[in-house]
Amino acid sequence: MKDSPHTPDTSHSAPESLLKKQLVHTTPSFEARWTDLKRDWRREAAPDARRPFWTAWSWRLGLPATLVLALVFSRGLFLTEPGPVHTQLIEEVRMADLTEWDVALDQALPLLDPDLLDTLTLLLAQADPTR
Amino acid sequence: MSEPTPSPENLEPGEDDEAMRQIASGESDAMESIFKRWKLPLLSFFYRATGSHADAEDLTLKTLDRLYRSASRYQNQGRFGPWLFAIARRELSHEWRRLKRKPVRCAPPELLADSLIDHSDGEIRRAMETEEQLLVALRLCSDREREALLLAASDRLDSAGIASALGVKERHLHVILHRARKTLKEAFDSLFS
Repeated sequence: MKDSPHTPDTSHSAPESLLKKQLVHTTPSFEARWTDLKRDWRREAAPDARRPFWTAWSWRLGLPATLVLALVFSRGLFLTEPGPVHTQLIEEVRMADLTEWDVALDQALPLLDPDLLDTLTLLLAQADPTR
Repeated sequence: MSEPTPSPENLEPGEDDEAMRQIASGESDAMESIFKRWKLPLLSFFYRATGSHADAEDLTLKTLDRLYRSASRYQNQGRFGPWLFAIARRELSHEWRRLKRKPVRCAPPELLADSLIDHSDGEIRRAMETEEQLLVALRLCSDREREALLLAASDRLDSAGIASALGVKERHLHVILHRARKTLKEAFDSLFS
């Protein structure tokens, strides 16, 4: 850059003095955008641009009602305990899976030793006497 | 091109307070006087901070829009400038991450005061190159140093006003400015070496 014939002469152009050179004009497009912005403000401030009365009331009543309903439904969804059939199904699936894995791993390390298998079967039978 | 802005010495500080009072009471037309007085200081501040004249125009209008919408909260009677530039700094910090990745783009030379000695091609190119070096050097300063330099260069705020806009003590501002000038000069010189 130093060797360029168009390199600016820095000896007389300290950066601070360059900073003092402020913009002195705006562009027509900027002025047009300013006019648009003012128009938007006027439109917002105009009385007929304000929301009708009923919309304010519908917000005031509708929002709390929606929140209450959402709360009731979310409690229903998250706080309801699963039924006994649901629990039993899950237990059965888990036990079946364990047994299956145990068989599959027969030649490898035993997943369930005989004592543990007996204990688990006994516990399940006690939890559900119909088994 | 628009009319040049009134010079700082002709400004009446009370005019801005009065305009803000009118805006708060719903007279949006009062923004016109604020626009006339502050558009060029804002544009210059944003232009040198971002290195892009187009971004400077966007940010100036965003700042004025934010100012309009917060007029009812204005309580800085007599301290309008620092308040306005505090808003400008917030707008700039929102944009800064995006802007940092963009290359500098100089404003057309005719928009800058006294940037040309004459209108020959060589002089225009030389002015543009110098301006570009300045924008690159400014990017090498820290955000706070750059903002302090630009606010000081605008001549619209006194030391107390600049300190207030930056959210620092006036004594601390002098330290920041001293470091900023040193950083800028070193960066500027290194770009030519």
